[in-house]
Amino acid sequence: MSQTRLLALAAVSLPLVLGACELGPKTKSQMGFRGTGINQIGDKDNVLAQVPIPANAYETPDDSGPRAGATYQNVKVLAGVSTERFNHLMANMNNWVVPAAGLPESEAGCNYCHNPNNMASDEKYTKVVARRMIQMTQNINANWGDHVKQTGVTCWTCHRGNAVPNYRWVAAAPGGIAGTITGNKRGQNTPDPAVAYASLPYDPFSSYLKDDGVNNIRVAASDAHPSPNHVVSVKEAEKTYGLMMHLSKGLGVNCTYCHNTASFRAWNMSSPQRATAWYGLRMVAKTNAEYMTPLANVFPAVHVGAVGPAERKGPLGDVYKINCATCHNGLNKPMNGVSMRADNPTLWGAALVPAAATLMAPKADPNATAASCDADFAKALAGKTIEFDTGAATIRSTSAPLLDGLVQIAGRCSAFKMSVEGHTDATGNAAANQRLSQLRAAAVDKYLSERGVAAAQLVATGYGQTRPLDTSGTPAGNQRNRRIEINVGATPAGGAASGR
Amino acid sequence: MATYQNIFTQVQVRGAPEMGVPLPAGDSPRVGKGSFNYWMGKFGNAQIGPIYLGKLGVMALVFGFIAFEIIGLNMLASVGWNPIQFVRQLFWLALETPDPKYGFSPFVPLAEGGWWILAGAFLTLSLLLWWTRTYRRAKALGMGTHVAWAFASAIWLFLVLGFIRPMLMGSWAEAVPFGIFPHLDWTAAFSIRYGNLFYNPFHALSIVFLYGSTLLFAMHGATILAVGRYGGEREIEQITDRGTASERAALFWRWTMGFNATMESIHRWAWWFAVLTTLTGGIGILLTGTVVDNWYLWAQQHHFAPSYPPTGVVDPATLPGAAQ
Repeated sequence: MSQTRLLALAAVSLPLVLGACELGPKTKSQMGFRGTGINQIGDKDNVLAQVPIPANAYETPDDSGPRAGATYQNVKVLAGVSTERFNHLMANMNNWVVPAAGLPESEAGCNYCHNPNNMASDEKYTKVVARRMIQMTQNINANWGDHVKQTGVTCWTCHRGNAVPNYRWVAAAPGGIAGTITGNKRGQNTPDPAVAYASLPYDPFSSYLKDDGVNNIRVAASDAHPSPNHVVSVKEAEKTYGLMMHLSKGLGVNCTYCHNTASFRAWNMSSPQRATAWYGLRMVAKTNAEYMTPLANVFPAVHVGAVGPAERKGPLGDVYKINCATCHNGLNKPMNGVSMRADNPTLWGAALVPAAATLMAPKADPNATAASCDADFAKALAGKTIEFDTGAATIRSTSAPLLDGLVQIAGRCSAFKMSVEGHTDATGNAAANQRLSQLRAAAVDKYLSERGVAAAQLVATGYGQTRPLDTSGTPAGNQRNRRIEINVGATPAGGAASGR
Repeated sequence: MATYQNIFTQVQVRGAPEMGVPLPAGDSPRVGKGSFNYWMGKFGNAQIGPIYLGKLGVMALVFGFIAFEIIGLNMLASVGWNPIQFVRQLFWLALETPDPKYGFSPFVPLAEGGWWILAGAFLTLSLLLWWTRTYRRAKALGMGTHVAWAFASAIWLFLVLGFIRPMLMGSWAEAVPFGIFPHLDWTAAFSIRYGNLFYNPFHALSIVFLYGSTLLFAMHGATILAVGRYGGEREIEQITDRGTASERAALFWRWTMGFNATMESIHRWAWWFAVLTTLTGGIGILLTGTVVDNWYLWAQQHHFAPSYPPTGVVDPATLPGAAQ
C-alpha cells in the first residue's frame, strides 16, 4: 500500500478514534419539545436481551381451605393466607432465589432456609431474612405504587436466581492510613463501576440511599441570586452527580431520560419519569433503612458453605443494600416491565399489616405523670416519622412499629387527656393543608383507639400550616414542619413531643 | 535543486549561532553557546539556545517544580505509593481541595487539602515570576509587552478559579482540584450546581472569543502560508514595505468576504480575541455563586433564554404530604 493510501486511511479512521463512544449504529428518539434535548440514544448493538422469567411453579391455587398459620408452626408473616397459596409461594421462591441447578443440597431449594427435620425452626439466618424480605416485598407493592405502579416486584426482580442479588452496595471503607495521604482517595478519583467509571465520589449511596428521611437532591438553587438558605458546595454537587451516574448506568438511560438540557433542576420541563425516579430514590432509602440495615444482627459476615462469594456484609460490617441497579439490572423498567402479579397474589398484601389488633394498649399506669408521659412520647417520636401516603391520610404499614410503640405509651398515660395534633408545611393551599392535617391526626387517633386507648381521652386536631417549627422555607425546614405531635394534659404546643 | 520553502524548510541556513543583543549591565549571562538540531529545524528554528533564565526564570522553575512534585506525590500516595497503579489510574487521580468545613482558612491539615493550598501557592508564585520574566525580557529586547499582558489575562482566569472566587465564597472547596478527569468532573458539577453555565453571558462571550480565536488563527495561518511563495511569511517586512504577498492576501479576503485586515491589524484582532477569552471567562466564573446562584433562572428573569412549553410534571416534594 502506498504511503498516500496509508495516510488517507489513517485520516478517514481518525474520527473513529476520537469518538470515545461505542461504535455501531445508534437510534435516536426525541421524547420532549424540540430544543430541550429530551432525547434518548439507543445503542442498537448493545440492547440487553430479555432475561427469561421463571415460569409459575404450578398453577396458582385459590385462597381457600385451611390457613397456613393453622397448618404450620411458627408462621409469622403469611399466617393469614391459605396453606395452598403459602406452599405455592415457597415453590416459586425456590426458583427465584435458590434454584437447585448445580448447587449442593444444603444451598438450594427449601434447605437453604429450612432445617429439613424441623421446617418451623428459625435456626438458619436465611429464614429470618427471607421472612423479612417477604414483608419488604409486600410493603413495596402495597405502599410504593408511586414508583412500582401496578407492576410491582417479586423476589425474582432483584435475585434473578441468585441467593444474593447481583447489584447491591455497601458503605465504602476509607482506604489507606487514617490522617495521612497514603491510600487516601478522599472517597473519589477511582475508576469505579458504581459511578460508571467516572472520577466522581464512588459511594454516593451512603449519603442518599440509606437514611430514613431522604434529602431532596437539590444542588441547583431555586433563586437566581445567592441566599443564605442555599449554601451548597460544588463537592455536594459532585456527590449527587455520582448518584446520577449510577442511576443512569443502572437503568441504561441518558441524563435526558428525565431531565432537559436547559435546566436539570426545572421540574416543569422534565419528563414524567423524573417524578417516578424521585419516588424510587425514597423507596430505596426507606427500604434500606427499614428492612436491610436492621438485619445487621441477623446476617453473618460470611455464609458458611456458600457456593460463590461467601461474604454477606461489607468491609465496615454493614449488610448488602439496595440501589437502583438491584431491581433495574440495566433496564429502565426491570424485566422490561413484565409483571408477575397475576401468579403471585400473596406478595401484594393489604396496605396496613396487622389486620386484627393483636396488640392492645395496657391499662393506665397510676405512677405516670403528665411530664413522664410527655417525655415518653418525645423519646418514642424523636427522629421518627409517622408516614402517610402522599396527599392522603392513609398510614403506611412501615409506621406500624412506631404507632404500636405509641399505643403502649398512650395506654399507660390514658389517665390524661392526649391531644393528637397534625401539622403541615407551608407549601400548597392553606385550606387543603388544614384539612389534610386534621384527617391525619384523626387517623392516628383512630389507630390508637382501635387498640384500646380510651377514645374519650384522645382529641385530634389539625393545625395545617399555622404552627411551623421552622420558618426557613428550606426543604429540611419543611420536613420538620410536616409532623404529628402528641401533647399530654392538653398542654399547648411547644415543649411537647413531636414526630416528623 | 534545493529551494528555500517555508513549509518543511528544505534548506536549513546555518552560520555561527545567533547569540542575541548585548545584555544590560547587571543581568545574568545567557546560558549555553547555542547549537543546531536538524529535526527542530524541520518545524521551527534549528538553533537551540543560548537561553536566558536569570533569577526570575530559575525561581519560577523551582517553584513550578515544587508544585508539580506536591501534586504528583499526592497522587502517588493516594494509590499507596504503587507505581503501577499510579500509571493505570493517572487520569483519575487528583489532589483535592479542602472540604467546605475548613472555609477559607489557610490552616488546613495537609492530608485534607493543606497540600492543595500549598501546591496552589507555589504554582501561583511560579506563574507570577514567569510573568515578570516575560515582561522584563520584552523590555530588555526593546519590545512591546503584549505577550506579558496576554499571559496576564490567562493568569487572571487561573487566579479567579483557584483563589479570588474561593476567597469571595469563603471556601476553598469551591476551587478546582488538580487532576485530569477530576477537574473535568468538577467543571460539569460546577455547571450543574450553578444552574447551567451555558446561560452565563460571560461564559458565552468567552466561548465566542475562544472559537473566534481558532477561526482567526486558521484564517491567518492559512493566508500567510498561501502567500509564502511570495515571501509572505516575512510579515514584519510586509508591514513596513508592502509587497506582492501582502497585496495578494489582502485581495483574496476582499474578494471573498468584502473587506480585509491589514498585515498589522490581523495580529491585533487575534491578540484581543485570545486575551478576551480568559478575561471574560474569569469575569463569568467570578460572578458565579457570588452574584448569581442559578444562571438558568437569571437568564429567564432577564429574557436571555427562551422558555419552553412545560411538560406538566410537578415537583413531587411540593405535593401535600410529600416525604411523610
